[in-house]
Amino acid sequence: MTTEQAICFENDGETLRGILHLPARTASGPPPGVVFLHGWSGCRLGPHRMFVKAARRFAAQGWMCLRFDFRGRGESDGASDRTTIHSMISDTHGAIEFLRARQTVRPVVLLGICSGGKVAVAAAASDARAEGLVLWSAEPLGGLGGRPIRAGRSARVLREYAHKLARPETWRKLLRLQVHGKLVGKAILQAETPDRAERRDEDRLLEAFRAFGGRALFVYGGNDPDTKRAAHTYRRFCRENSIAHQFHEIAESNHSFYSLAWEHEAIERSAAWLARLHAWSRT
Amino acid sequence: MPGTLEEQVEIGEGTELLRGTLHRPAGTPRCAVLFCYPLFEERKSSCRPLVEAARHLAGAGCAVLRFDYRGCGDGPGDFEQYAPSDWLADVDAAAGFLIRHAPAIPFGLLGLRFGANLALQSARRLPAAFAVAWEPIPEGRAWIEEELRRKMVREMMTFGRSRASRGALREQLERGCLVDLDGYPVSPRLFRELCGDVPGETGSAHPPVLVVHVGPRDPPAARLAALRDRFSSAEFRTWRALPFWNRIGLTDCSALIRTTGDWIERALT
Amino acid sequence: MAERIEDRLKRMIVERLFLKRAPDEIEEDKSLINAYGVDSVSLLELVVGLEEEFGISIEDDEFRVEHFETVASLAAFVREKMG
Repeated sequence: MTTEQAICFENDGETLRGILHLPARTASGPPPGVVFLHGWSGCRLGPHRMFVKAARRFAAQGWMCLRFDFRGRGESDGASDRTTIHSMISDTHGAIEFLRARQTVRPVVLLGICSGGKVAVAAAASDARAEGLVLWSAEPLGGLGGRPIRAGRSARVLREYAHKLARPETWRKLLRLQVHGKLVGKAILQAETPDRAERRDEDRLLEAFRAFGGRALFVYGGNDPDTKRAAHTYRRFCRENSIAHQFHEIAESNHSFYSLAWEHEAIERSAAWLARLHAWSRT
Repeated sequence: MPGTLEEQVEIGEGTELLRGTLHRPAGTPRCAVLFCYPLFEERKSSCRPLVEAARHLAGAGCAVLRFDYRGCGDGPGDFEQYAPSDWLADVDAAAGFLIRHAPAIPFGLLGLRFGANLALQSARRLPAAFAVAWEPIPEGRAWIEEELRRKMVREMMTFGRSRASRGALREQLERGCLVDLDGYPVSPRLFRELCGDVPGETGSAHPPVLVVHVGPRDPPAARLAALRDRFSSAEFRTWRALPFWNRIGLTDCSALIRTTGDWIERALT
Repeated sequence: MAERIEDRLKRMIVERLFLKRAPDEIEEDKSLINAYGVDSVSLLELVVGLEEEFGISIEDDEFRVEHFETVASLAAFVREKMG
């Protein structure tokens, strides 16, 4: 039988609050874990309580699930107008640390919806502990949003930077822009792009995502005009960078899967994928 | 808020524990306020404003309890298992918990939308010193019509035109079938109870009540009159703003929260 | 002279959706969704506004996105409903 606990953890001086779903006792070995990442103005419930239902479903399958509110959202501390994609990425890393500090969890999967999907991609690009991604109607990250993706550097240089980015102190500096921006930019990117700092940062994280060694499941709604392009560009990006991925389109569904049937399909597809990922991670 | 504490709490026993957050002010609380959440997707969209309202009131010296009903939010069980009578019982349980934790001080309720109706109804049964109702829903059947209209609009945005027929959906509900309202299963029992006794209704005496209409213009006269009939000495205000419980983005509700806090302060004196 | 339906609609849109612009700044042929940020939630407010302001009732098969594309298309729809 699964149980649920109210939890809180600190990140960047803010208290973040959430619910931890503890799985029923499973077979030997550490349980796998899912961290749920809500959308920009959402909360840990997800649209039509979808995160609650999914977490309970996955916990029944043996997964430890953490649903939490980003700072400035839901029940977490922090001013609402100071939340950024970067603060969400940071909070995601904090959530992974919290989960792993509770108990050895492996693999760790990030499940994000809408901009939470973008956050999941960016967080996985900068944290080697994230081995899987379940992305529901994920917003495109950086250049995938409409501008051409700049050509990457050689695979060797990228792997070097990806290795550095996997170190917590590096990504913390990057997120706080304490790393010499030009140096990193020049090394990773072939050309400076005269865009806003946020867009540049997303592009850097997208470049780092080229080296993602985990697996990803993308789920989109067939009637979601916002993310049709994102599905196309993510799919191409994954192919170009040999990222193991799967795409599933839910026929006729809208962006937030607003029907019991669409919601069920998204959750069950994800549950099946998670089961395969867990089996794969144990080989 | 400096000096205030937020404690995640569990209410009740067994497998149907209600989950909530108790906001404790610095020092001895001057009053205790129980928040009653709205239903459906309104619960999600109003999450942050209600948290900020609770923090504001805690900063002003109130103990505040926010909690989720069974089948809603972080609450136990599934939505279709429960109906208004269950949620009234949940309000009773949460009220009992709050009063035990903040005894011998005035107790009141603050509700939004359907939660406002639960708050108004509970204010007559519980030892409430005041009640605040932010945009209570109209009569239950009219509210179902609003939700069906919302479904039409959502389908229009998804498919280019609506596909469902409100008549067919109404008929399904009348026949006792479960109806999918954009991911929320409306059970026959929920429909029957909403269309039956209108929550928040007739009675004689009531504690001080503040009803706030939130919308781009004044409420329809008929709706206002119906509320005045049920709460003869209630105070009515209008806050001209878009219904924040329906918004996709975040809404600054600080004006509404401050007005409410000031009203509670006056109600206590 | 009676106020044009288009002008009544613009006033209603600005008022009900709290748009930060004057009614006469709304262009009648511009997409309400793309140019003025009207989303599904705002559309619901528009539907309520249409029914209250113009005394019409929008039937199930009239929830079509082409009616709500622009002020011009909304006005045509309202005229048709009002006969």
